[in-house]
Amino acid sequence: MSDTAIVTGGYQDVRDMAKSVDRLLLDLKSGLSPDEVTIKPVVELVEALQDEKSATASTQFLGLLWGRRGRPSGSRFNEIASELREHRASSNTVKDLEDLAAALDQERAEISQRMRGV
Amino acid sequence: MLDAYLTGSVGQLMERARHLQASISRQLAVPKNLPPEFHTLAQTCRNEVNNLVFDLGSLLSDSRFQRADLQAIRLRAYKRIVEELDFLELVGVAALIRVNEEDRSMTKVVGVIAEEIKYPLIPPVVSCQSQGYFQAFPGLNLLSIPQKEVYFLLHLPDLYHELAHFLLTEKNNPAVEPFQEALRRSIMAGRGHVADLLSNESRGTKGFVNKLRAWDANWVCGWGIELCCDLFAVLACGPAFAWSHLHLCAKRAGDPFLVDNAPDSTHPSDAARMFVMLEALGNLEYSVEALAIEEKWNQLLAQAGYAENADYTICFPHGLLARVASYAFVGYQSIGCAPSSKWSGAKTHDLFNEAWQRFWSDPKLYAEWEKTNRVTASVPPGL
Repeated sequence: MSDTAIVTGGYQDVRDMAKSVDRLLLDLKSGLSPDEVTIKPVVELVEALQDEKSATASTQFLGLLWGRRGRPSGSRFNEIASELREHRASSNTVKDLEDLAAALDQERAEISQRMRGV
Repeated sequence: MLDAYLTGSVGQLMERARHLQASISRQLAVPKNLPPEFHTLAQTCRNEVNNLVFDLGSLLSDSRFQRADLQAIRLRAYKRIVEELDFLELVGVAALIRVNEEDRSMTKVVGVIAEEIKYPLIPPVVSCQSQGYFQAFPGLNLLSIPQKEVYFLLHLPDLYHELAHFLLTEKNNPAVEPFQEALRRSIMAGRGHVADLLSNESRGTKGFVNKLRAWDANWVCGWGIELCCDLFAVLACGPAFAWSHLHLCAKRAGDPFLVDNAPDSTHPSDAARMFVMLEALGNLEYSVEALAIEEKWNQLLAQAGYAENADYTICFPHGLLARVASYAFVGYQSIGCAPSSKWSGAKTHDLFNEAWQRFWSDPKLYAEWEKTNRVTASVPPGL
């Protein structure tokens, strides 16, 4: 019944996706070709958000966070997923992923503050 | 700047991580300090600390982190590690370094509850050192409750609600997916209702639209989860859980019809929560009990001077809440958990329900009765 129970569950989703997005960005911005393990969680998120109604609660939560930083449109999701799968991420895709990373980082900070009760 | 800062700070954090490992090992070295049921938590904490030490090392050793344009990613990674280490220290390791008889008893009680309801996951260990109310920490499979709760019965049905949080955060497990699907459908029902309201232009003032956007976010961030956990609890524990909700509201809550319009609200209105609980009780053939609870609930609202307001009526229509209750009912049945029944014969379940019957049948004698009817008595000898 506590707030903490909620935010702890949400925190794990945010933390895990934040790690995945940053790992991918680290490769992309270093000029390396990310491997499938690095790409997979981000592509899965982007693909799931194309049809949000059938997405899990956790995915909807992450989509909502991305929305606070100007989430891409439905057709852009498709482009991002394709580019990542085909190892040809454009600068626009990198920018979109940076927005997602920033949104996740902001949420991480806010959840942390709530968990500490300050 | 960042390079020098991280070099100093990472070294300090690594030392802190080593202290945590040593604390856990000191507990493991004295079997009476750390009974076997806490060993999984100890190992989880040890593994997590080691993973963080590795990640800390990467902040300094990964050559990509020397590039100027990647410092923002490096700083974000550092903050996440700091936070995870704090969490382990403040929650996981804190629970391990002072395991007492109350922790052991409540861990056994939760084990018995899990067996009674055919709970499909490993039951969490319990630490009786919560500084708030009941708290679930799914990543550590740990449940934290107030220190002296073990000696009382009326709030303990909340344990069932907390168990549901672990089900909802479980990953890649088909055994619990039907209940997670109930959550997804509940959220979609809530968001669908908000979308319908948003499309009605006659209500389209800016303030109202902002409120609706907050409600939409709240269905995703917490309302759906809380309602599904309430429903799991009432389906597993029966009327005792609805009584415990009334108890909590009478003791601590404010206006039960208040709709939290903040975009990070985690809990739906208490009246909405009670509504879904009563619906679920009806589904379980507890109609008589549901009527009795509703009567007392309405009396409480009247005596406290609370009444339904316009936001509540718009935000939580009965049809929507009834749908959420029916989704959870189907989800609960589909994961094979045992539904509450007057004839279940499950000791812990029956004790919680008996406690509330006695509370109302003779409030004066209740405290005395409770003294000789501890929940720990429902734990079979040798467990």
